[in-house]
Amino acid sequence: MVNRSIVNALGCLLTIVLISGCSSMPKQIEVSAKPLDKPKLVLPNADELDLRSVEWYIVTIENWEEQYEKLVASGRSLAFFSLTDKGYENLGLNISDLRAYIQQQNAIIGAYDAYYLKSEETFDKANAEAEEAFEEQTKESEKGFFGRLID
Amino acid sequence: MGTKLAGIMAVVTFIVCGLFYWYYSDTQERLAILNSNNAKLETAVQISEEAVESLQADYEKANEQVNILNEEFASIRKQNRVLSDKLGRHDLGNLAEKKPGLVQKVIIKASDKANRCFEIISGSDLTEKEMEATNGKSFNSECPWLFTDNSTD
Repeated sequence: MVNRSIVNALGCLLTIVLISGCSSMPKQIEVSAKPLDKPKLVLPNADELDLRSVEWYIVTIENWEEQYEKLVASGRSLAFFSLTDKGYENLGLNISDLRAYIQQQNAIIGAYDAYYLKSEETFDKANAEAEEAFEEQTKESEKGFFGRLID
Repeated sequence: MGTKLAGIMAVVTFIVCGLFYWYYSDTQERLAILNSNNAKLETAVQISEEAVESLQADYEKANEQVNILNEEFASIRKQNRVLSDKLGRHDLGNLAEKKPGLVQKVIIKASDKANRCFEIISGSDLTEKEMEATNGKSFNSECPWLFTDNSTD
């Protein structure tokens, strides 16, 4: 009878030891999500334009002598850099194209600026929320048995 | 015999209690780690969800900027056609041949105004006359659309 009890007790003991021995302690997970601050890009503005005035002369069969005399009186070199009416129109249209191109580039820069400023706000908000979540989690894990019981 | 049996039982009981205590402590420790892991995973999931939301918001903002830019491009292209249309309406060569003095004055003024458009686009301060302008034409007839831009700033 006694021997049977001892055998039973030792059997239970052996079973517990064997069951416990089969399992291992779970590995503690470490999660790190530290936000990185992106360095701010501060660029200087492009130089403002201060363009020179251009004087045009219309030279025709009737007025070429008058224009020639004006040029002599001005003391400039006696040479005209001429354009035909079509050439003048093309020059004007080319300048207009360049102006449109600059405006489009300005619009692109404006769009980048607006997008990145808004994105930065979103990132800051997301980072703040993540930090808050981590803090909450840390507080929760630091609570003891009684703390959890009170909650 | 009875004392011996009691002694053996006491030893066995002591060992069993010790084992149970060890088992309890071990289980509690394991539970604490699993709880901690669970909390960390919940946080990680929350952060991932926030990151996805943030990306979605950025995607919407990018689309919004592309739409705004397309509208601005359409407007700039329309403005760029103004001179072409103006030149198409007049025979400049014929006018210059008939009234060279008048056309000369007109194109000198137009050149100065066109240059001024570049200066304004580059961020130059407005002159008093430009600030006092009440409409696009009196602001600068070569780029009247810049008047609207200034008034909305």
